[in-house]
Amino acid sequence: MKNRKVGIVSVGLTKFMRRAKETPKELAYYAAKTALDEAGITRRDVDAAIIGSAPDAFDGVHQKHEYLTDGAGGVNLPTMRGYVGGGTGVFSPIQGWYSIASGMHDVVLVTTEEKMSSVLPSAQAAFNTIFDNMIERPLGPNLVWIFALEMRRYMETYGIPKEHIAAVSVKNKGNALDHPSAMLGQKLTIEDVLNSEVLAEPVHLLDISPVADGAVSFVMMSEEKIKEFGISLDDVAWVEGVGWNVDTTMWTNRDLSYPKYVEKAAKQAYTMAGQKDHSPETLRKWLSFAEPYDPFNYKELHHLEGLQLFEKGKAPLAAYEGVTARDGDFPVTPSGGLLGVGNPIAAAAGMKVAEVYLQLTGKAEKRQIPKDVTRGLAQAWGDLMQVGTVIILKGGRVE
Amino acid sequence: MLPKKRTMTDAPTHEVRGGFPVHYHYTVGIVGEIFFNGLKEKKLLAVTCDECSKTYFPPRMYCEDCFVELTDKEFKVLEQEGTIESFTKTYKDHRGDPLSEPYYLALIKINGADTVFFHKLVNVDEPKIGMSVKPVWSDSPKASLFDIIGFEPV
Repeated sequence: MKNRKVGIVSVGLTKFMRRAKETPKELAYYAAKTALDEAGITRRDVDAAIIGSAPDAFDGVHQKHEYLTDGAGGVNLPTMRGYVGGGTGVFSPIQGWYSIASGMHDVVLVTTEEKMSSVLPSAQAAFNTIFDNMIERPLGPNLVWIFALEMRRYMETYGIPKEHIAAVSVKNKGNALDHPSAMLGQKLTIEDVLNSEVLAEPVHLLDISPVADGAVSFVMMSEEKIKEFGISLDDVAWVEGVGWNVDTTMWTNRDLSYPKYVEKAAKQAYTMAGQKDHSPETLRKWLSFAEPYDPFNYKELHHLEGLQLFEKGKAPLAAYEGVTARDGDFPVTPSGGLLGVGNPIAAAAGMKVAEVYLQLTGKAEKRQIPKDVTRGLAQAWGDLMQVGTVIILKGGRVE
Repeated sequence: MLPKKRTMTDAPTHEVRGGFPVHYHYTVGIVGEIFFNGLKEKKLLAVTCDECSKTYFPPRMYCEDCFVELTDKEFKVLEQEGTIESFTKTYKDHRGDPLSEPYYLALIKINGADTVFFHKLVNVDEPKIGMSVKPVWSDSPKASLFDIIGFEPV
């Protein structure tokens, strides 16, 4: 059976904030309503709703999907939540894709949300509970620690200087100055990043993204419905490929210098999109730009390599030399990313998919990449450093 | 079928104690700010959706059915009377221990509202569905759900 063609026809984003006045479901409503209005439709036109949100422990509401249902426009609809930790924001539109591609639904409203400011004393206290309760939790681990371990392995394996990694923070926080949802756009130098407060060597404050509150929604439709509503193809980005992959929960049993699960997810998506040649040179020509997950600066580089967009260990120099700047040969994270726009977990990755849509439809305003863009990729990562989720979109008029 | 090597009947000899080391400060939200400020003034504030005419009490930021925003509407002050839609008498706490004083919980439809409100019943011996009740207010309301001590028969 052939999959039906599916497009994203609109997006809605709240501002990302340190502490939003809105409740989680009110944040969801703003994003969902904006996406519906942008698409020129109402909730009555929606066949199904999908809710993406990361650990319940952030918002502090168990079964957050049922809590968010009315704000996400899902009342009395086939509504469901997909959940793969930090990978959720890309997985939710993937769920939207297969709900429509399968012929099950025609119009799907997808909402990703996170309100991390509710949790005290910190989001890291909630993250403590994701580790093995016998052999890891007694040591009190948090994500900054384990990413410090991973970052050091990555730097050691390929001989990467910290300056090259710091260039990602400078680029992304700089790009975020042009994003209306951003909470941490900053003009920085590499020295600023290197000299920022040490959290857990080699991780410094400006190497990581801020916790945040926010929501992002999409309206996705079948090709038939896009025609029926008379939506211009200029406003459409087609889903061309999707992929996801989960590695072992035991993060201690993995190659920390290379995300194999991201490679597997990416190859699934490339192959589905008809791209059989997975060499970096070919992929960088085929894709116009990428939005890989950047909760830490080194993760953008790690992921670019897992995505096969750069050879192993080669992404850092490319970032340092400006190849991945918005006006570089291969723009990466033109949005400003999690580092600059903010990191409300599921909504942060939702923002990345939204950026791919906005770039491909020429609606990225000051962030618009200064060349023709035909195809873009968004990727997220999460659970216990073990999941990779990938979506590839192409412009509405691209054959 | 059971696994061949059964170990689940053995008593565990080691355990690791833990917990979720978190607590919360929840924002009450855009409409919650209005609702709780109303309680502080001993007012029951409700909002009506223009599209479906449904009146929400407690008020909502949006109509969950029509999906239109309601916060730009005028909030109505409802009369301080409603009827019992359903009730229960609770005898045990969440640990399963007996309560020293069992009490009534009820769903109350405030006159003029289309949704029900969950709260306690007080000063009542034999509640009945359909019974008219009114709020008993705290002497020192401070924008809390417990500015209403409970609902008592009219």
